[in-house]
Amino acid sequence: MGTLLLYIVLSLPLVGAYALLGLGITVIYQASRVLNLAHGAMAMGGAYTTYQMSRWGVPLAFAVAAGIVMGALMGVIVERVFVRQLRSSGPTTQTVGTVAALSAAIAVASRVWGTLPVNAPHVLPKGALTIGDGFVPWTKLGIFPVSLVGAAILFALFKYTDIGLAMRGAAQNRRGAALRGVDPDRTAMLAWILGGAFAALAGILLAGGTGLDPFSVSLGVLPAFVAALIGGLESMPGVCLGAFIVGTVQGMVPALSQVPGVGTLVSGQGAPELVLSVLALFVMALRGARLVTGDVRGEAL
Amino acid sequence: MTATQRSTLLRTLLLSALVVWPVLPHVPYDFLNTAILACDYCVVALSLVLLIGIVGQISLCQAALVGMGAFVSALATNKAHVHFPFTLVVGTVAGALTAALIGVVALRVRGLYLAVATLIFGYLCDQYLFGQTWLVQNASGTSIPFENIGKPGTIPSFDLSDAHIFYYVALGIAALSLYSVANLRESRIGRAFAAVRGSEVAAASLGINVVRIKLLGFACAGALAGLGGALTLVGQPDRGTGPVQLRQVAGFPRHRRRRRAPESRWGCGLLAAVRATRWGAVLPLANARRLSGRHLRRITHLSSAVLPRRLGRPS
Repeated sequence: MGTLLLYIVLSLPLVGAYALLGLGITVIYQASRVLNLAHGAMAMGGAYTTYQMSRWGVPLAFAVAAGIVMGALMGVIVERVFVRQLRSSGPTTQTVGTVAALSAAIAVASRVWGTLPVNAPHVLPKGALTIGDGFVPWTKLGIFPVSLVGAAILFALFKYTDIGLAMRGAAQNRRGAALRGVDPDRTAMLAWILGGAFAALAGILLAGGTGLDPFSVSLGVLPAFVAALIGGLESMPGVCLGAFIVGTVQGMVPALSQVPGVGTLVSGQGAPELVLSVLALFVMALRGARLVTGDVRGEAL
Repeated sequence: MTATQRSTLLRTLLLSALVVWPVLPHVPYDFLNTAILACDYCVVALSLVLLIGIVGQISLCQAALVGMGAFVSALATNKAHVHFPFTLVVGTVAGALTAALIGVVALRVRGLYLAVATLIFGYLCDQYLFGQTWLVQNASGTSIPFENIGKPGTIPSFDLSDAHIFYYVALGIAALSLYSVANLRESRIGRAFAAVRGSEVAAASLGINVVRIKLLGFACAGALAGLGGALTLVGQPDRGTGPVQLRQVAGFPRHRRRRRAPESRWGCGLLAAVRATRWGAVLPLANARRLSGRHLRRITHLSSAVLPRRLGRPS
């Protein structure tokens, strides 16, 4: 029982990180109908900025603030350069455009900081929570309460403020919102700023606990997309639930390796990713509609 | 001279130049290797032309299919002693079967969801499948011995480790792929692909089996990607095909729907390949050979998005 509890607690940092990232993805999707695959790049950009600032001797609070600003700035750049330019081609092309942004950001980071992992500054307090024979460091566990606060702020912003209402309205009907005096481009830009800032915050917190390199943070965001997909890309509570499912599944897979029969399947390199990918494909197959023409018997060939 | 005659003359001159330039004196060896890489990439880019441009489906996991082609053909060489050119067949079949599996997912999801599903499949290959020793044989990648056609000293005998000889092999395969894709578009299957691309419902109302056509489209594109992977491995067996080199997406042509879709033109495949290798030639000199695969893909992504109108203008 103690071991099970330990694994659940070990999952909480993942849950928190995926919730922060998933919320950013959802905010951007709600505002511009684009699945931002460059979200990992924003997380990485924020983390590297904080790392660089702290290397230059800037106080940690300012370094973290600079990292968050960098994430927001990257959001603006991706929106202006890759998303707005491709609007006429449709959301799928815009989404592919964000892959280009991700690739470019990884290439730039590799060039500037190299591909070897570096020790990012610890933002969260040191020490550890002891459970039974094991312990969970606060540098990881602290991500969970931060994500709860972040989720509450975003939820309140969208639910109770005029700007949140304008963002939701512009996302649902650009022309209608424009007729009511809302600038849809400005609300989309604000969503990208928010999404970028949240991504950077998650990246800074994750890098503090696990180390930082151009690939692990930027590609480690993929599970957050699964969380967002489970939540339907529209609902914030849904994303939080998705993050809980994905984080718990990923955290619990090592525990399953001790179960007879299942153990051989889920042990070894990449097992959590395998389980997660299968889960993602399953969710998408459930959410996707069967082809309306699936039962049509054609003789064209 | 009419425009058609001018075009034919230009094509003939271009083809002659492609055939003749390697035997000219003082051609740097690195240029030859870059040209071989361009041929490999051309085949892979054509798979995307077929899938995105002609069938109208999106794929962000094409490099995973390239990897499947390379790894399975290496497995066939090292374990079952299958040799060139049959390894190309093995790679092609591996790519086609894997892509057909992705096609099954595509039957249920479309657009944005399909992009994510293929991305996740690529992630799965990168994180799990390409780390399995039963497939990759070695954690750092796989490699095969140099291939020969015929016995050394007899006629015919071709040593594929000679870049001059392998260039012509790769050029021939790239040309054959180009010819196939260009002709496929005008065939009955190609018209069915175009119909499905335009509207699935309308295609079904015309009696086209959409499920079958979609699966066929994915399988054909996967076959080309697998062929590209197997060809890459034969061309550079000493370097091996590590998982790192096959990460993420290979460069793909732009996806536009207005007017005639430029990405359905085979010229896009050529342009993407040439562009990728051209950038490869100016990469920082030190580790360009070792890292080129990864860097080139990144640069191709970037240029695909930033320079959209330079790829295959609609005629």
